[in-house]
Amino acid sequence: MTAPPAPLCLRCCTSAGCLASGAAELRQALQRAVSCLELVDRIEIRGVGCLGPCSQGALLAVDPDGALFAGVRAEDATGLIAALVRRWELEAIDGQRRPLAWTPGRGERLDTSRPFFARQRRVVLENCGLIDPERIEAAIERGAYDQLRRAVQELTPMQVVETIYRSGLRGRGGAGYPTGLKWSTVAKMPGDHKVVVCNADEGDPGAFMDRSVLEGDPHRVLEGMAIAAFAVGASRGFIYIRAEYTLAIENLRGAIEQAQRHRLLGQRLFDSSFEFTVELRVGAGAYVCGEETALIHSIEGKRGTPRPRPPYPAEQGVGGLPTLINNVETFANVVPILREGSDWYAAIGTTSSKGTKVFSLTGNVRWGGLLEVPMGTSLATIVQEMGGGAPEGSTIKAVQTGGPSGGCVPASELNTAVDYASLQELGTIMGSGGMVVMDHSTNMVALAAFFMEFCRDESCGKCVPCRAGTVQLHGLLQKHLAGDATAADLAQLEALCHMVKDTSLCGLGQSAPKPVLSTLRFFREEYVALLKPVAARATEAAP
Amino acid sequence: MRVFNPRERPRRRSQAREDSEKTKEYSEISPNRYDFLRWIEGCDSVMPSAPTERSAEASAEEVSGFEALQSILARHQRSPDSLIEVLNHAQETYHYLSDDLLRHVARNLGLPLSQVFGTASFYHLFRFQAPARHNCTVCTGTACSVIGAGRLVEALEQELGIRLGSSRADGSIDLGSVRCLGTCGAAPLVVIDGVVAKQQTVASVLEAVRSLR
Repeated sequence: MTAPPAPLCLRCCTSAGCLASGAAELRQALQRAVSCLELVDRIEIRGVGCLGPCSQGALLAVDPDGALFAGVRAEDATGLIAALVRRWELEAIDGQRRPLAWTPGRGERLDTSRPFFARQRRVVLENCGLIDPERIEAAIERGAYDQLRRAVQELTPMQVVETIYRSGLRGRGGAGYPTGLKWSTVAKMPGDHKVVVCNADEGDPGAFMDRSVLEGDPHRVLEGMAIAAFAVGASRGFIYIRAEYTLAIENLRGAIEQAQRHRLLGQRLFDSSFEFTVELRVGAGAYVCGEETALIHSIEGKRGTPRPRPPYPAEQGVGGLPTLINNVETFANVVPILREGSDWYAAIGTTSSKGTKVFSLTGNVRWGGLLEVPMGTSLATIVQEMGGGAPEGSTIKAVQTGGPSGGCVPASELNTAVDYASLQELGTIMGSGGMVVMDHSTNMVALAAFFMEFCRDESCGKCVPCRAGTVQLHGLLQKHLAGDATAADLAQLEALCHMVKDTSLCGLGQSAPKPVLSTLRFFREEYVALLKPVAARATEAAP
Repeated sequence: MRVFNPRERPRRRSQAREDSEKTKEYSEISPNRYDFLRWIEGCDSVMPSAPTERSAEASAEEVSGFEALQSILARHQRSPDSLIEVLNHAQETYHYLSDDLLRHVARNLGLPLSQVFGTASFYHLFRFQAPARHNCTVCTGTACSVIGAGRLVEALEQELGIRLGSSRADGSIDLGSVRCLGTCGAAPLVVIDGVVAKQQTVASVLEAVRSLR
């Protein structure tokens, strides 16, 4: 007589990427199969956050085997359950453990020793893909809110700020401002009422790190915010999230409600005088609202236009109160830092950039998806090794980072180690972590025009250089694409880029010319090739 | 619908910009002046026409309607801060922001209509016209564009005979775009009636659109 087999857990990715591949139907089909066969006690069907390689969806993981399947469809459900039952039967006969011999009809079993998985270091995403984001109990089992309790009961706010400061954590939203410094500035501000804001307005096209964190492990972010609130002395929090992220909004709403019910958010937390409430504010589609002053206006129910700084939000933010604004991923880093200590965190990464970074890898790449690597990992490792390079028959031309505020890294520079400083040297930025791989068929001038069109449409219109400059820049780029541009137009394009960059009010305008400048730096010949031939101009002028 | 005549454009825009700082005072200004200032905010040619103040013939809907908004207004204690939350909720319920609805929201939050309209028209997701029966939205984010969203847009424009960002005259379908759904692993994406379809090709998207009509 052998011991009863261990209960199985089928983790079904239910984040937006896999939902588009029919993950919801798959989950339902699995549930139906399990309940029909009365196996509910022995097989758990768990909806989880992102499992990683989103381009291969829908994804399904089987525990305790640790097997990961890609391209699973609803019609595969009965086959999988039948295979699991058959294995039990065989194991019952001879008592020997067997590997799971099953592959989905049109999908495949993924090798989890591939670089895509093996080269990752999961700190922010440690629970993502493991826990059911809709159940707070699952998060608590994995230690959620332990660090908040410890901070409130055992540490002083100054100690928390100190820990974050010493960890070397820098803002993950793009600019890379030292988080500890920001916290201590807000903590030093006088007044009893302060605000903590989580910037989840992830507007960069091609970036979905924040969405994945919020969908897969919302309590991680809420706990990070609460710890920040305790450290700086705030009692109110806002999460500003873009309306396009419907599932993340739903999961966050649920998470906030559950945390309140468990008295992990609200008043008199952990029998102390500390109180913290979180409100969700849903945006309505404006890229500029990722800029902190514009975001504050939007939270206040106004047009999302930025304003000059100072006063910085740390002095005057939401409702005129001192406000701490951090990005989703920054808050998600707080819990592991407190749990493992600042030295542990500071040991990961490079001298100037500590910790790990989550990237979303997309575009012309074989293995696209969500991955987390230590700072200082080279682009070649991420794109070529982990991402598997460009699909069959094409070669990588460049990697775009930082969205419309960033630039392109040409294939020749892929050995660059990714950190804040090295990317800046290459004329681009870390940004929030979107990485779009482009193959040799990509027209770089058209790409620059694409981003300029984006910035033109998203310019709030408050300051002239951005409002008028982006229109002119886009016009000049179109002129190049149409083959009507002259050398003078190219010179004007460049000059105007610098003007818009130097004189715009906020980050949107200041970085709008970056894609142009960056492509001019590395792919100038493509611009020059589009110029009207001199002979053609001469004949035009003659009559 | 009100159409702006460029010749009517007020001469002193700078004055208007200063005044926009003092929006709270709008309601205390005489009706003509109020109308003037509100009008400036909607003056930009890309904006839809601003709702006009209606006096006598307020519809029954306006007086008694929009009951579905009561709960959200109450939840936020009719605070002006909640304007975007209320508008989001209103659009979800009523599908678009009608003139009457904007007026109702303005009155309930104690805001001048100009500010309500100014805010609503700033954000891309708010719409001021009733949506068509079906909706087809192409993601034109970076990843989708790199992989071929442009070809999908061209094919759809040709098939439907309308430009991106417009609707067919018979009210059958809206063709729109979105700047990244954050589901880039499955690019290029097209959303048809709220359902995200991944890795679309010209053939698949045309088939999907034809099946709607």
